[in-house]
Parts: sequence; structure tokens; C-alpha cells
Amino acid sequence: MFLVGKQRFLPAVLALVTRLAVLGLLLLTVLLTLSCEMEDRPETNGDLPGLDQGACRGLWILSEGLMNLNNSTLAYYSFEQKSLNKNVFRSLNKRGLGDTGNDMKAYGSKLYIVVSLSSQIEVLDLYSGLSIKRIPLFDENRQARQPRYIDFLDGKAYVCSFDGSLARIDTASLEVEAYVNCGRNPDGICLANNKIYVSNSGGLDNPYFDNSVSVVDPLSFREIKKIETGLNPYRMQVDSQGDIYVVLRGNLLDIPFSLCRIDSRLDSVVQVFNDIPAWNLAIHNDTAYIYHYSVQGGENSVKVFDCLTETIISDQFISDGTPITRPYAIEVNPYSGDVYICDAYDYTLWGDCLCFSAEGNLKFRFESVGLNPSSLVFVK
Amino acid sequence: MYALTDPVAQEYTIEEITVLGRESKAKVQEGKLVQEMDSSLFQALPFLQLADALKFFTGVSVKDYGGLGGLKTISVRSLGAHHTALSYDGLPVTDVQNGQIDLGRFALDALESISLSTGQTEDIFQPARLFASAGLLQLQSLKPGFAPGKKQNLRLKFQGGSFGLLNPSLLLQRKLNDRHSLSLDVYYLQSRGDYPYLMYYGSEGDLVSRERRRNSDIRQFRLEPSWYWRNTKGSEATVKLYYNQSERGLPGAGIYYNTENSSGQRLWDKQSFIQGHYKSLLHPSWSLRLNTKINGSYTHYLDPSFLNSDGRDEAEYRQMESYLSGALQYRPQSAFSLVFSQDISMQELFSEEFLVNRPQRLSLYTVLAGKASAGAWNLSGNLLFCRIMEEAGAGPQGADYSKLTPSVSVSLRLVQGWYVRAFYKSIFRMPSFNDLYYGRIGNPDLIPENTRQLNLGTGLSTKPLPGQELSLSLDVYANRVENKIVAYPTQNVFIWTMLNLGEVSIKGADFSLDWACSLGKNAALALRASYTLQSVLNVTDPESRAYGHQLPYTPKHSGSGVLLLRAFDWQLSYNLLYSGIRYSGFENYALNRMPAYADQGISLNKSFNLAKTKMTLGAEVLNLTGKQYEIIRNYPMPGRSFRAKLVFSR
Repeated sequence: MFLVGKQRFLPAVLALVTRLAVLGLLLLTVLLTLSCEMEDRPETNGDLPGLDQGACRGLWILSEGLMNLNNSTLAYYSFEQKSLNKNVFRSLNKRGLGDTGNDMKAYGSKLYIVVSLSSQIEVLDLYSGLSIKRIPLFDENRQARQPRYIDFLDGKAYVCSFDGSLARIDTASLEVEAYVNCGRNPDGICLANNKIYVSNSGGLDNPYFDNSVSVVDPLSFREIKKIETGLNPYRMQVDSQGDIYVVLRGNLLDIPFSLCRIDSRLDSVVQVFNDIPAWNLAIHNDTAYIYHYSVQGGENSVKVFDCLTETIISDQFISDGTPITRPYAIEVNPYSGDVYICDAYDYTLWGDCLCFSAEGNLKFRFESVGLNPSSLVFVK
Repeated sequence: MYALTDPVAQEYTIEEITVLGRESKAKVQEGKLVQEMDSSLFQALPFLQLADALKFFTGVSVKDYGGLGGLKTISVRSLGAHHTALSYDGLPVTDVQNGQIDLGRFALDALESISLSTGQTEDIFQPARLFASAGLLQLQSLKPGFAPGKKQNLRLKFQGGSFGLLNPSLLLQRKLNDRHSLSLDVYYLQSRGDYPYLMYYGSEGDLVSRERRRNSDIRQFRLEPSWYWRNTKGSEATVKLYYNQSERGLPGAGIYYNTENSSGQRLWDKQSFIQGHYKSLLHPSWSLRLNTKINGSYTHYLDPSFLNSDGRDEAEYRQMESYLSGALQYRPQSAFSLVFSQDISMQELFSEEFLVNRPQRLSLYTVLAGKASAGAWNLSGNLLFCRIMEEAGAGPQGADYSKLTPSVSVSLRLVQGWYVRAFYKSIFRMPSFNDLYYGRIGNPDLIPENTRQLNLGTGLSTKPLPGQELSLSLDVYANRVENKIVAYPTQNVFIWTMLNLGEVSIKGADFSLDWACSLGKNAALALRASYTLQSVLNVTDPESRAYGHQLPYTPKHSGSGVLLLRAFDWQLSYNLLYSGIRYSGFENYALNRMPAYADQGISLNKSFNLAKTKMTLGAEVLNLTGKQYEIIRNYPMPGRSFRAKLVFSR
């Protein structure tokens, strides 16, 4: 029971003031509530180039997103229509790609996307982007294999996964045919001399990295050799001579990054380049464009390397001073010879895709294409 | 304290006023920015865990990953979870490894009241450490109170509900004599947590699939015996033992096309402490409060699907803390008091996961605080000196740190019941041991995160009509966070490091309303509502594309409301939680946007009197509309679920 009697002595003025104050506060509340909801910020696209600049009809850009956020996206740029669709997989197929799209390559008329944490291979039509099939990669205990990279030979697709396996998928039936075990935590794949090479990083055993590249014979589908390389091997690219250039990441502490060369006829390391630290490279007509960045110093570099003479042609590919904060992908447009480099900034902001001429001058850039853009495929 | 919910107790007129009037009084009294909720309110509402109740406090955002076992932390005024200190019966609860406490450890059933202060606390006669945070959440456990002639209180409670929830608990309080009493609190909770949810693969109109949350189970057990002593001269002592253990599954984010084994992670943890409190009136003007605590905890983590050579990722952590606090108050008259408080705390962590072995931290907190009132003015302020010393067995260690930080608050009573108030507080938080030393992402060069808060507000408490009480408060604030410790990927998206990289500018307004209305002799209606408007902008790097964007998971608009109707032996409640849109990434792009949501619940309780025992039956519906939402992206919250409870008390 409230003690009503004690209120009688409050003056009438006070009662009025109190009511006005209450009204005032309520009014303020209403005004505050009416203030608008947040609006999405506009995404800039940059100056969009036409057919002549690309010499091909379109470009697919795959962005990884971040772990556990299901935000891997696929972008498509049409040089014909000068239009950039940043979320084309979802808008066409009515569903997201999944978590961490790690690699993307074209074979025949199909585009293959390796979605690592969702443990799926998405197969799309190369020209329309419509999904043809989604291939799950799980083991017999229904545990995700976590596929990482893909390459192709003679109508078969080969996918290496973090669980140590190499899968063979038939590109016509799109069925997984067989698995073979390689080393620990495979994190790179390439083909040379009719053999499949898988780099065994051992990354999830940090600091006990692996240091080998497995050689698999495609006919018997058995591992025939393990080539000892340096610690923590990663991406691999092949030149016309069948030389495989392997990125070595060291132990991420005192053993630095470097590059080494495997001769695919001998299946052994024949040269080590300690003066070429590398994260990734792209080879076109026996010229390699190699990028590196140092986590501590923040310095990065893009070098040009001659795969025939095995020497650096230029220490500084970019000739017009265009800054790149964090190079995250490198690919050469086979139809124009231009070098495309993606900049992931700080991995939490959407990145850009920059196009440089073979001489190192910036031609155009696509802005905010996706979170951590990491793979590029050119469509003729 | 549960006796207060019974309308039959209105024969004790004074008690009833306390029940309905207390909530609003505490808030507007002396114009301090304190929010309180006591057990008569939260026992009548469908709240199971502490975090459920905290979501209804103004200016609080709770990061909830879904399910009963999920991690829940609170952030007050968007400063971040590390900036809210937690005290249990007046002593600080700390976790030096994580820097934040998992609120799941505290059950509402054991609490008498929850109180949240922003900036300055109302009671300055406290351990020094409680001055060392931007916000303070104070939990008060149920103290034994015996009606005349009664020597024992017993409460038995059974709760059960959807997804395999089973929750029996027991509270026994025994009066040994006029000076000594004992209490024992036993609590057990288990739940399968396998709630169904919809997985949305895109936006409206895109693919949707029905899934069930797996590995979301929890089993928890808590034991809390306490001993209370008091004498006739106003001295009091309490010794409390606490043991809590739990095992739970961590369901992980719902990953597209891989929901079944996207996480099989498990977590086992145990915490135990013994804490003692002593207060005494040494002299009419001098009082002493002593507090001490020894605290240990153990955590065991397992990921059985980690693709390394062992096929698993496993880690164990042990923490120990020893703590001692002494506070002396000089209070020559009721309008003036001066407090000197000194704390010392030693914390240690043992784990193989850390760059160093056995990191240790010795912290000294010294506070000089004063409170004075003169006429319509109330002034209080404090100076806090912290000295933190780090020690690490081997390897690089964090730097020692000393800092003097001030806080001042003032309130002015314009007319009876109408206050204006202002406060300023500058305080920091130390990097946790995880931030400094954790194997692959720790950074021993981290410096503390700094906050500055400025608040201006007004509060009104009035009785607009007979039998009604209304309190309104409006506060506008500006906060700044510097050297914010953020985890950033540095080498690639798998390798992250802690960095002092952030700067945040926060401006906001909190509005709250408390209305209690008596509907005759046997009924009452209570309404609590709150609304927050906030702009929390990333102002770290003007060159960045995210500059000036709202921080992730921070809505601009959010609010809550509770309506409680008590009539005869019945209690009916309705509650609503609302959050406007927010973004799940640093850039406020359309693809990062998360939709607004509203979560509503209702509950109905009825009490019966059987001989000497009071029995209460209750039923609750959570998320009434069943509409699915997420607080953190890809962590779905449960849809509609039910709970029922049966309580016996005598």
C-alpha cells in the first residue's frame, strides 16, 4: 500500500513541473526513436575496363572470406558489359558458396571451386556460373577432409586435402573415384611430366612442419616418391621445362621463406633460392611473377624471374609505385599477358583486384571485390 | 527472500513497500547510474541464467552464442567485455587467462540481487579493485533471513523443459543461534541443447534447410556452503566456499554443407574458491572491511576433429589467485565519507599452451574515495592507483604498468525526485594472459586498453497518481576506447595475432522507465522498459575503408521491456528484447548486414499454501514467435521452447 497521504504537501507547481518533465522526456524518446536506422555503406567499384583491356570476355574472382563466417563469395566481371557482380554465385544459385573458398580453376567448360571448411567442390558452368554439381569430400567417419587445391590431367581432377588425402574425380561423371594418402596437411598441388605433385606442409602440427612433396603416379594412383624439400612447402607452379617451383614457408619464426626448384625428370630438388622469399607465384611463357610480404616488417615485393635462366630479371615488378598492402593472389591473363594481383589489405576489409601491364604499370583496379580475394580465372 | 513474492505477506506492510519501491528507489537515489534487479523480480520472470536477466538492463549487450552451454559475456555501453568487472558478495571475480568471465557460472537461483553500475559505484566502501573497471556488475547471493521463531529455511526447486533440460536445486539455510547461521546451495543442470533451427544459405528466397544443433549439451554442478556471523555491535563476517564444474559441447558456427561435424569441440571446467568477508564498526566514525579470497580454476579443451598427426587438439589450463583487501572508512556524519582501500592480488597460470611457463601477475590497487552531500548536491570522486607487475618463467614477458586514474561524479537534485547527474571516469584494462602469451597469437608487447567515459543524465522519480510510482532516466554519454586489443590475421586467414590496433568513438543515449502500479489490495502491475541508441565507430585509421563504420555486432537501436502482473497468487509476465540491424564485419556493407530481431517470452506462476510449505508452479514460453535469429553470425539462437518449474519452500 503506498503512503498516499504524505504526498499532499507537494505544491501544485511541483506537480506541474514534474508532469512537464515527464512529457519532455517522453517526447525526447520519441524523437530519438524516429532517428533512422543505419544504412549500408556504398561499395565502390573503381573504373571498369572494356573488352580491349582484358582481351577476354570475363574474369572470375574467388574470395575466401574468413573462417567460420560462411562468407566466401564469387565475383564475375564481364569485360563485354563492363559490369561487376560481386556475389554472382549466390544470386544465380540461390545459396552461398560456404566457408573458405580456397582455390578455383577452369577445365574444359567447367569451373571448379574448392570450398575448404565446407569441405565441398563446387562445379559450375564456366560461362554462366550456374551450379552443375556440389561434391562433398568427407571420409568414412563422415569427417570433413578440408580440400585445399585442385589441378587436372587427362579428364580427371585431383584435389589435395588437409586430412592428407589426394582425391581423383572424374570430370565427366563428377564422381570421386579414388583416394591416395600423401604426407601431412597437403597444401599445394601441380602436374608435371605426367605426374601429380602434392606439397605436404604439416601446418597443423605447428611447429613440427612436414618437409616433403609427394609424387603420385596417375595410372596406378599410388604415391611413388616423397621428395625432401625445405620446411612447410606450399604453392607450386610449373614451367615449360617441367621444373616445379615450390614455395617454402619455413617455420614462421627463425627459418625464413624461400623458393626451391624440383626437376620433374629426376624428382628431386636441384636448386634452392634462399634469396627469393615467396608466398606465391604465377608463371606465363616461362616468366614467373613472385610476390612476398613480411609479416613483421610489412614490406612486400613483387619480383620477375626467368624460369629458363633461373635468375631474377627484376626485383621490383611494379614500375609506377602503386602500393599494395597485402598481396594475396597473383595470376597472368593468358589472353593479354597482363599481371593481376589481389590486395587483401588487413584480411578483415574487402580486397581489391589490380591489373598491371607486363611492364608493371597499373591499368585498372576492381575495388572491394570480396573478403580476401585469392583466386582468378579468365574466360575467353 | 522468496517470501517477499507472496502477496499474503502484505500483512507485513513495510516489506511490501520495499518490494515494489526498491527497484526504482535504488536507481534514482542520489542520482547515481545504478540499475538493480532483485530476486522477487527475476524469479517471477522466465530467466534461467544470469545472462537472461542481464539482457534486460539498459546499455548492456550480451554476446550469446546460443544454447545453455554457450559462452555469454556482457559489454556495457559497447566498451567491450573486458571492461566490466564482476563482484560476488563484494569480492571481485577474475579470470586472468581470458580477461572476461563466463556468466554461465552464476545461477539466478542463488542470487538475491543483481546490480549494474556504470562509471562510479554507489557504495564507495568497497575493495579497491572494484573501482578499476568502466562498469561493475555486482551479484549478491541469498543471505539467510529468518522470520521470528523460524530456525530453518528450505527451498527445493525442479525445472525442466525443452531439449532435455533438467535442473533441480536445493537451498538450505539454518539458524544456529542469534549470531551464527549456515547456508547450503546445491545446483545441478543438464540439457541436450539439440534445438532445431533453419539454416539460411543466402537471403530471403534462397535455399533453406532444417538442421538440429549438435554437440550443444551441458552438465553443470555447483555447491556453495556458507557460514554467517554477526554480533550485536554491527560486526559481520561471512565465509563462503564455492565449487562449480561443468562439461559442455561447443557446437561451433553453422558451416554451410558441413553442419554435422563443423564442431565436436568439448570443454570441461572447474572453479572453486573460498572467500571471507569481515566488517566491523571500530568507532562511531570509523569502519573496517576486510576481504580475502583464494581462487582456483581448471579448464580442459578438446577438438577431436583437428587434422594434425594426433587427430586432436587438446589443452589444459590451471589458474590460481590469492587476494586480500582492506578498506577503512571515515564517516563523521552521514553526509560525508572518506574511504581508503588497498588490494593485493597474485595470479598465476599453468599451461603448456603458452609461450612462457607459469606467467604470474602481481597487482596492487590503492583507492582514495570520497563522497559528500550538501543540500541538493552530491559529489563523489576517487583516485585509483594501480601497479601491475608481470613475471614469466621463460621467454618474453609483458611489461610492468603503473597508472593513476581519476573518476568523479556529481548529482544535483533540482526538485524532490528530479536529479541531474554527470560523471567522468578514465580507466584501463590490462591485457589478459591469452592476449600476451597464448601460443601462436599472444603478443607480449601489448599495452593496456584505455577508456574514457563522460556521462550526462537526468532521473525522475514521481508518484503521478495514488498507488503508482514512476521512474524515468535518460543519459547521454561519450566514450572513447584507445589501444583496443583486437585479434588480427597477420600472415594469412589462419594465423592471427593480438594487436593494440583499435580506436573507438562511442556516443549514445540510454533511456529507461520503471513503473509500478498497485491495483488494489491483492494486485500490482510493474513495467520496466529500456532503450539504447548508440553510435560506436571505428576511428582507428582514417585511410581505411572501415573508418567511421559501426563496429561489428553493435546495433544502433536496441531495447527491452518487461511487464509483470501480480494478482492474488498468480504472476503473469511478458518480456521483449529488440535489436536493430547490425553488421558482422568491419565494413558496413550490405553483405555483412544482419537483420533486426525481436525475442518475446511469457511466463505464468501460481503459488499454493500447503500447511507450512509454499508451493509454486510455473510455466514459461521462450521466443514466443519462434522466429529464428542470430546474435553472432552463424550461431543460431533457439526457436520456441518451453520450461516448467515446481518450487517448494518452507
